[in-house]
Amino acid sequence: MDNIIRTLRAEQGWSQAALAEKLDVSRQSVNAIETGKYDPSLPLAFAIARLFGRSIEEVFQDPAATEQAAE
Amino acid sequence: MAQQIGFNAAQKRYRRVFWPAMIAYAAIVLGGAWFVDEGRTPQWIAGLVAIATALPVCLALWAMVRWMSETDEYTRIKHLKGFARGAALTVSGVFIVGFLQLFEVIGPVEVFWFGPAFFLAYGLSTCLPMMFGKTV
Repeated sequence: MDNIIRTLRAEQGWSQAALAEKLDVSRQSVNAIETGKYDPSLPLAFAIARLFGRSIEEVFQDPAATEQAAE
Repeated sequence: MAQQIGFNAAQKRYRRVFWPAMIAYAAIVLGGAWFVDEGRTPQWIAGLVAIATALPVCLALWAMVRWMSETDEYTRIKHLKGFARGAALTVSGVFIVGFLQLFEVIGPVEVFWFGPAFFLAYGLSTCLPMMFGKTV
């Protein structure tokens, strides 16, 4: 699952640790989600989207769906 | 089973049990070694001291399992996988050593060492995949 969390976090000027604190998860969790190595559960994905004031679809993109749309 | 309460609260609850348990363990290990005089101390007292020494470790293990249940989802899956791999490695070792003993290939092995072996296997199974870029 692709996401724009790193960009959104940079816009806010937050470090990974600061974002982790706001989401009540470990800094490693934020890093794993940002780099696409771990896909969060729906409740955590909603919490991330809510924190940035975006919809879940704006924050997370399905690469397969993006490829399909491009074809 | 404990409910997820978030990373920070779970860390606090874990430390509140883990560190006192480890301090108690260190104190009982030192006190027990001083108190139990092999051959002179009655066996039932030595038995009680042995159980009292193991109890803080059991408590710390319980705190670890509770922490895994309560922490955030990524930390939980990472540590549960490490815990499972560590347990599988240790139990495999127990079976191998056990059969080697049954077939009289090796002499007696101290059962005590399987505890530290588990913690070592758990630690390595959690850290090594991360060192090679695998997150969960």
